[in-house]
Formats: sequence, C-alpha cells, structure tokens
Amino acid sequence: MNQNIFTKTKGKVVIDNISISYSSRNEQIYALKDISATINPGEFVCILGPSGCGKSSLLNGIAGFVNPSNGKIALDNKVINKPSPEMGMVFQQYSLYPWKTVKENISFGPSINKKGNESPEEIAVKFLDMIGLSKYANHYPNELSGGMQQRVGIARALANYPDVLLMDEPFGALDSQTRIIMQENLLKIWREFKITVVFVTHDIDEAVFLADRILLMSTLPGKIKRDLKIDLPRPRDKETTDSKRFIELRQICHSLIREESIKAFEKQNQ
Amino acid sequence: MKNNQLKNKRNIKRFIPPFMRKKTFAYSMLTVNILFITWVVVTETGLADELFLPGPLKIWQSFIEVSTEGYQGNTLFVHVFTSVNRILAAFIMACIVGIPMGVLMGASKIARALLNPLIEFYRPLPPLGLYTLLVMWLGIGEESKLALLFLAALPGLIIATIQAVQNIDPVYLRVAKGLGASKKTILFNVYLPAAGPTILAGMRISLGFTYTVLVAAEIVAASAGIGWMIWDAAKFLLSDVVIMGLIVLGLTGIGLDIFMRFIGRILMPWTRYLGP
Repeated sequence: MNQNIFTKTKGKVVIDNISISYSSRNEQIYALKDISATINPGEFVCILGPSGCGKSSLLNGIAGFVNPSNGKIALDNKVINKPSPEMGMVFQQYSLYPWKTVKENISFGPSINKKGNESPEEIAVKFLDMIGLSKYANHYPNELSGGMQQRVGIARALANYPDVLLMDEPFGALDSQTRIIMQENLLKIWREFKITVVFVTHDIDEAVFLADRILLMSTLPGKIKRDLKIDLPRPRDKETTDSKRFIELRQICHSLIREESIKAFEKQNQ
Repeated sequence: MKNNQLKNKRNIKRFIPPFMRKKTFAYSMLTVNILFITWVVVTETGLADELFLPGPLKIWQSFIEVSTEGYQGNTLFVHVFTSVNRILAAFIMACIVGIPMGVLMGASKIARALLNPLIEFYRPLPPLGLYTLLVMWLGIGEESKLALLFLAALPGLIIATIQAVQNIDPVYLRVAKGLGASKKTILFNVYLPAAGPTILAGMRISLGFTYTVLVAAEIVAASAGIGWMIWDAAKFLLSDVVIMGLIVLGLTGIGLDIFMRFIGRILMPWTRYLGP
C-alpha cells in the first residue's frame, strides 16, 4: 500500500455522486452518471476506459473546467466550481505556448501565483533541471520532440506546486519506447513530490504499470464499473511488467474493457 | 584548396538575402524575365503602338526624368513619400482602432453583434462611392483622403483579427484559466500572441487593399502622390509616366509587404518554428 497517505494531508479529492450532461440535438446526453469516488492524498489513480466513456469529462470536472449537472466534487473539503492553481493539468498534446520559450512556459504559472520566496525564474530553472532539459531553456516548444514537449508540460504543471496533478492521456501521442521512459520518469517525479495524481488513459498496460488504483469506466453513460486495487510492489520498473501479477491484473482489465468496447461498438451501430 | 573554395562561396552567400537563396526564387525570376523579354519584343518590333505601350528604355528614361526634374513640380521621391506617408498614417490609425475592436469582437458575442452591422454594411461599398460622401463631409483636403484610406484598411483588419481570436485553440485558454490568470494577463499572454500570426496576415492583406484605393484617394485636389501622378499623366496620354508610376507603385507595395513581414519576425520570433 501507499505509505504516502500518512505523510501527506493535502490533495484529497472527493467525487460525490456527480453527473455531467450536455445537450445535443435537443437531447440530454449523459457523459457521466452518478459517479462517486474518493482519491486519497498522495495516491496515484488511473481512470481507464474505452474512448467515449467520459473519462476526460470526469477529469475536466475535477479540474473545474466543467461543472457537474448534479453532485459535487471537492478538493480538501472545498467544493470545486472553477479551475484553481491547486490543480495542475497536463493536457494531451500541443498545449505549450508556442510563443513562449520553454523557460517562459514553465515560469508563466509561478508568475501569476506567487508562492513562497522563490522567483518564477528560479522555479523554472529548478524544474528544467529536474526534467533534464536545462539546455533547451531558451528554445521554443516547436523545436522540441513530442516527448520533450510533454516533459515541459509536466514541469509547467508542477511549477505551481499543486496538490493534485491531473493528466489527460499525456503520453497518447508518443511512440511506445518514449512512452515507457516517460512513465518511469513520471513515477520518479511522483515519488519525489508525494503528490496526488489522477491519470486518464485508455492504455491498459500504462494504467496497470502506473496506478495504485484503477477506476475502470463503462460507457454510455459513463459509470465506474470497477475500483481495482493494483498491489504491485514499488518502485516499479521493467521487471514489474514481466511479473505474474502484472499479467493477471492486465488480464482482468482487458476482459472488463473488452466487454465495454463491444457494448459501445454495438450501440454506435444500432 | 577545396575547403577554401567552399569558404569563399559561403562568404559570397552571406551577402545574398535568404529568400534569394531558395530554388523557387529562380523560377520567380524566370516569370519576370519572360514578361520582360515579351515586353521588349512587342515594343521593338512595333507590334504595340508606342503611344500606349512604350518600351522599357522609354520607361527608364521617364523614371530618370521624373526622379531628377520631377513631374508637375514634384520629384518622384516626393510623390512616393507623400503617398507612403498617407497610407502608413491611415493604416496605423486603422490598426490602432481595428485590432482592439477585432479582439473584442472575437472574444465577445455581444460586441460582435453590436459592431458587425456597421462593418458589414460599408465594407462592400466601392471606395469611389464612399469618397464622394467623405469629400462632402470633410472637404477636399488631406482629411478625406486619410479617411478613405482608413476606411479601406479597417474591415480587413477587423475580420482577420476576429478570425484569429476565434481560432485560438481553447486548450491555450484553459491552461491560463487553470493557473488563475487575470483577464489582462490572458489578453497579453494568450490572446494577442496566439492571434498574432493571423493578425499579421490580415494586416498584410489589408495594407495591400489600402494600396489599391490609393489612386482613388488622390484623384481629387491633390498636387503630389504617386496615385495622383498616374491619374494626372493619364489625362495627357503620358503612358510612359503612367506605366513607370505603376511599376514604382508595385515595387513600393512589395517593399512595404517585406517590411511588414520583417516587423512580424521581430515581434514574433517563434513563428519561424511554426507549421509542420
């Protein structure tokens, strides 16, 4: 189990019976229906489900970009109804500002929310060093590879010292080799910061490798189908993915997801 | 030895502007040359009446003549300077009014609804038609000329800016909002830089359009200006001055456009790395 729970007190997310709906062609469509979950401080939770299950909607709800139509989401007993710097978000891709250099991208957040006595400049330098891209401080994002850009994206989110890191399929656009390295790096960063992470993905291997807990989602409307504890030992590395338990857990997820994918597929074809 | 040659080549290359180093430049030059040769052939063989289409030499002579002795009391430089001054004054005013208006209209539905009828109505009006009214209101002096050029520049700028703001990737706004950025911070750190390249493209098109209105603006009661010179020379069938004026007008236009792109590259250094 995660020993961080006892050392970390901030970053608890409570999702209390929420629904998120939108209207399309005069019809009320539920992206999410009656979802409840509690994410503990310092926990690494993956939200796993086939595309279209509303997992991104759930993340946007937690981030405060979308307000739920019923129920409420709270961070450390404070109801979330708008985005706040306590949440750091890492987007799918291309979310760095192309008009700012790598360093300026990272220092942008700290320059808005001054915390402590570090200058935004110092924070940027520190995080650039952490992600190993100090050499590229004055480059523009478009000069960087996808993997490097996403490292900057993570650094930018962390530069505000948030209590929760929200990640929306951040490695989806990367090739599988880069992806694995990024996952290992992310775990290292997570250990160092003892931060709550909510990670959305449709990649089963990714979810099992990273998570303390997987919230498996069903489709149309999106619900939590299974709350699965991942009891693989940490720190995790290449060996983890070869272990028997990893393969078992992957199998469980696989069969659950497959069911949902078929259901969604058939619904679309009706 | 070979290394030295290479070095020399590189040294020479330094003095050639980057756009000329491209292969496509050679093709562009091909078009220009064909046009020029056709011109020479047509005029030298007498295929075209010299009264209507003088040869390149005649145009060159006219260029030298107007440059040194002037046309109707003003040298070519004064004509060009007067016109460029008018255009830039009107265009800068249009930018000062149009870009903030466009940003406002792009960001707010209400602002768009309020201001759209104004622009959409006068935009398709022919400049000359508009000009008659402006002369009645503002007189035949400099004011009506500037007003016409200003009105010509404005709609293109506003429409481009609206487009630019509306096409901003929402994720850029989300990032800033997620950080709790103020409206002012978002304006200067997201809206303007994100819309910048499209606004610049709009500015270039708008400046081009303003340029096309120049002759119309200088018809009435002007005594200098490249547009007026062309108009005046046409009355006396001085086709060499007309064609020379048009060439100068075209080259000045290209010069202004290159200048705009240069400004763009200085203000938005990242655009060099945009695109696939």
